[in-house]
Amino acid sequence: MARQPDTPLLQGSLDMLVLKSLMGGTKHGYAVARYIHVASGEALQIEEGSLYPALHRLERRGWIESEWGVSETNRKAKFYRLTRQGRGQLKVESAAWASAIAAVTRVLSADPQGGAP
Amino acid sequence: MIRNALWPRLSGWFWPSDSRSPQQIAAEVREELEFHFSLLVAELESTGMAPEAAHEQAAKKFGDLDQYAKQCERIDSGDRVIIRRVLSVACLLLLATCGAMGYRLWQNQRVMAEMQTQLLMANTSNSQLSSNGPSETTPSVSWTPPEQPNPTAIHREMQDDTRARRYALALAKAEWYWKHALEYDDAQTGVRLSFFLSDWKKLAVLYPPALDRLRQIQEQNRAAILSPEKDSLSIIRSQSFFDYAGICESLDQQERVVELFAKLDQQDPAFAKVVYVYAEGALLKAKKYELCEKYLDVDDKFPRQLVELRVVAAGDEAMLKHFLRSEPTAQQRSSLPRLMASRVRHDAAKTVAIIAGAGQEAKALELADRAKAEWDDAELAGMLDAALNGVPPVFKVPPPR
Repeated sequence: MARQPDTPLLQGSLDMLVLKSLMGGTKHGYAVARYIHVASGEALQIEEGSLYPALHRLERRGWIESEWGVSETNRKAKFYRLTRQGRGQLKVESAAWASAIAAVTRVLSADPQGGAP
Repeated sequence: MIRNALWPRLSGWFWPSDSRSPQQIAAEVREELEFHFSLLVAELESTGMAPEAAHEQAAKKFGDLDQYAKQCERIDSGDRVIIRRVLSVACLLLLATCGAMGYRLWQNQRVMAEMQTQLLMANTSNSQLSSNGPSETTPSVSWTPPEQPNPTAIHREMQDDTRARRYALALAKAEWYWKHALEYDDAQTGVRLSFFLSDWKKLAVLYPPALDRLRQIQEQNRAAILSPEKDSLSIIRSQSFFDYAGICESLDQQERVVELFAKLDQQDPAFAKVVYVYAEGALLKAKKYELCEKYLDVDDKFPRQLVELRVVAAGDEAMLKHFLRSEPTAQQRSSLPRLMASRVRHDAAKTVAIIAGAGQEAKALELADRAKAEWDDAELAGMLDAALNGVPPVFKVPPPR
């Protein structure tokens, strides 16, 4: 039975969600996790153990960049920003995701008794 | 500045490392995660949870912070470290290769330098041998002359051995000829100092020990001339000078004849007078007219030269009768008149050249006139006029008819 609200992320979707979360501007890691949680209607909960390695990996790939700043609580925090390459990558991943979802939807909507639609 | 703009790019390309130290990376990762953890605690506290409970709850939710930190550190510096290690190993290998090549190059240069030094030492040693009286260390070969040796035949064999590249054998025969040819055949005198020495020189070009040996003989002769043994006969000493002059001429070292004669002029004028005839050619070439004039004895020689001019002017028969004690052969009859005509012209012009060169122009003019009076010959007149003008004659063997 599926867990609510800790719906597991599909393989490969975390990078896309992180990139998407940064489309609206710079964010630190906690804000990224909060954004995904809220934007998903509290359906997705990003574990810190996955989030931070993902952020650092995306930065290494040049899709996001970071700088240290001051948070809303007046604490030193590391903020991430989407790069031009990151925007391009987000488009590619979004298209691939939509295509995969459509394919899965077609499978789910097909009649197993009647063969392929 | 260019350095400021270029260097970071270059260094980043060649050395793609995170500018942060591993400690700095670790500290920043931990600070980032701790910030996240503190916001989690604050979020729970905002729901009314007690701080300790909120902290405990947040820790439970957050999971193993140390493990996440290490993961992030590896991502930040992991493959860069690998690249850095690969680059370091590559650089070390490159340095080692360059070092090995450099060492090999250095070794080769050392070997070359040693070889050059050895060659230089060998050359120096050779030149010292030639100038200081070398020892007799030429390679030897086993060769025994026949019981009745024929110098001409042995000379020919020496030529054949040279052509056949039997150089050591050729040298052995050359040495025998040089030392013994005159014992068996007086007529070899001219050949020995001309054609034979010329052949020895050819051998020396192909076989350096032959040159060394010739130089040894040259120095031995010089030593025998300057420091004769007490009971040494003058004729042997004269022969040594004759040989020395011949060898010097074959080695294009006529200046050494002049030098030796000048030394004899100072040390032993009596002997200098004896060997003057052998040194005259070299002295004339060096324009040492005063030295020539001192030993020429013109009052004795010139009248005889006039007689010879008169004989030649009288015709071939008279000339042959004068110069030959026996009936001339057909070959002598054919070649001797022209040869003797050439010689008497040369001798008279030479005397005039020496006297003129020694500063006695009036006497030279008188001698020239007397010579012209004996023989009305255009070639002779031309040679005498040239001699008066400081151009000594050059003896030329007339070509065969």
